[in-house]
Amino acid sequence: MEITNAISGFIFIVLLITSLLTITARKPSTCALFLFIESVFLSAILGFLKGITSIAFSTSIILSFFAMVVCGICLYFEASFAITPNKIPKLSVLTGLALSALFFSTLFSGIFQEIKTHYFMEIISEKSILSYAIFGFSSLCILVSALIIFDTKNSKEGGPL
Amino acid sequence: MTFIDTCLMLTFFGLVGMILRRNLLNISVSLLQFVIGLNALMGYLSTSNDHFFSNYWLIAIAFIFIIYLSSIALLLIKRRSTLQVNELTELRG
Repeated sequence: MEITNAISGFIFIVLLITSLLTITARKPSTCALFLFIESVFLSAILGFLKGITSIAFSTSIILSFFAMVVCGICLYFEASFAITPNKIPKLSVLTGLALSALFFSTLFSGIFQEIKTHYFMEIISEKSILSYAIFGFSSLCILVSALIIFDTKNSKEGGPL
Repeated sequence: MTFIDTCLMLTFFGLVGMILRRNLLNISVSLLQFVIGLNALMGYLSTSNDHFFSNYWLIAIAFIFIIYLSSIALLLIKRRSTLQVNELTELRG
């Protein structure tokens, strides 16, 4: 049991470090690489806690492949178009630090437990509220992205917009 | 720090990354981080495998959004003929 707790604690620390590195790394491919490591560790702990036959483990494995695909996309863009990494604005850094401080301050207080049990879990359990809205916007995304990809591939000048 | 707190932390950092980053590729990575945390939270809270459709549906939506952001980035690179994707930030409005 102590070994189990030690492994879980180690994976939690790795998840914390990789999630911080994902939002602070400069190059997009580096961010995607840290995200891939994070998703692999998350899949490992989900398989450890829920079993390898659970739906959470299988969907996490699929999302790990997605992270690898996004890493490949970012590498392609960086290699093809010579993207220079941009500097993060100070206002955004201050906003992120303030939000993180707020999150960690509420994490270890009683307010967070009340929010988590009374409000957030109800939102998660009620999955059909936002379903139609997200479905409509995703249909629009499919149409626009298909139009852009086909028109960009077939013309030398650029897209239709 | 329990597993639910870790999932909430991943979700929250994904949202913060979408606010903090100014590059479309970084925003797509943060979006995927948000979806990974949300999927782990939903999978951990579900007591049975009967309601698996919502998890796969969430993954499909994430895939569509990532393709959308990548195609917008490709379009703006082709149109502007620039070497930097930093100008894509104005798309965020």
